Amino acid sequence: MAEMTSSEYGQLLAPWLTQAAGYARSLLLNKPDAEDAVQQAALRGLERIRTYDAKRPFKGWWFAIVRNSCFDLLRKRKSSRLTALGNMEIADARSSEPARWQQLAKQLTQLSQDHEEILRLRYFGGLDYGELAYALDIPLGTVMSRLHFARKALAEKINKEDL
Amino acid sequence: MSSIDSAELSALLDGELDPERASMVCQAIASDPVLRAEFEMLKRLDRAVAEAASTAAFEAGVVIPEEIPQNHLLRSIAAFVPALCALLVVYILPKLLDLALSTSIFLHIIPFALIMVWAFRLVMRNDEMKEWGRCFTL
Repeated sequence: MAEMTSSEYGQLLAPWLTQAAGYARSLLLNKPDAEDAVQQAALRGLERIRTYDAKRPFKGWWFAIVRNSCFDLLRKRKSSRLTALGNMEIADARSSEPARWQQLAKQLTQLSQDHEEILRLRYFGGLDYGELAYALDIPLGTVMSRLHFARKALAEKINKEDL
Repeated sequence: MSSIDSAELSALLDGELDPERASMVCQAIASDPVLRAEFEMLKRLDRAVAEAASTAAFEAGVVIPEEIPQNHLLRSIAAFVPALCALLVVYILPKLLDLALSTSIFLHIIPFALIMVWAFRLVMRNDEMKEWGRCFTL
């Protein structure tokens, strides 16, 4: 494969930056950290561009890097899920940001890790089945069944909480 | 219950089934009220969740450098190998050739300088190296 230049990489990345930012925000629960994570992921991606298999969806590869950057950032600031949720509530009280995504992010944390992860990538990241398979390194069949059962689990939570 | 896997309802909703299979699942939904109810529930959930998730997205100001950065680990190894070679030469060569003390000291200066240069390269990024280069040429 011919080596990709920095500007070619930037062009490939551009359409997915907004969704990546939304995905990172849903994990990190605030805008500045989400922006940092996406920036860090963009640099990492550029460093590792040779590892990208051009036959597979770029978006799946890119979101795998964004996901790792978010987890690294979470580890770095030593924030457990509980403290992150605490920060979110403080941020919410100060700002007039729409809270629907925050409610959803909170509901997702009540699911199993597999279900939470696949729903987050599907809805915040907008990944299709092929991209989900690449990002999570699982077969397509597993994507189909995991996503289905994750939806059912989420539906149960939403009904229980009457939202 | 029909021969439809319930996970295929999600796949149909997401447009991930091939046309032939999609039409089979559609027929099953039309004829089975249980499947139809489940499909409708999934549709409602999908719409609500997608709408909520879309409010998180925002324009992230991302800067892509013009130069592709080198992998830090590879850079570390690349910096370490010449320094190690130089060290081997300086400690093995005088012993093999039984050199005089002054020659041996002179040989020590070479790897020391090499190690310093490579250590400097390790901690400096490419753009910073260029800045330093400009300082030396002025």
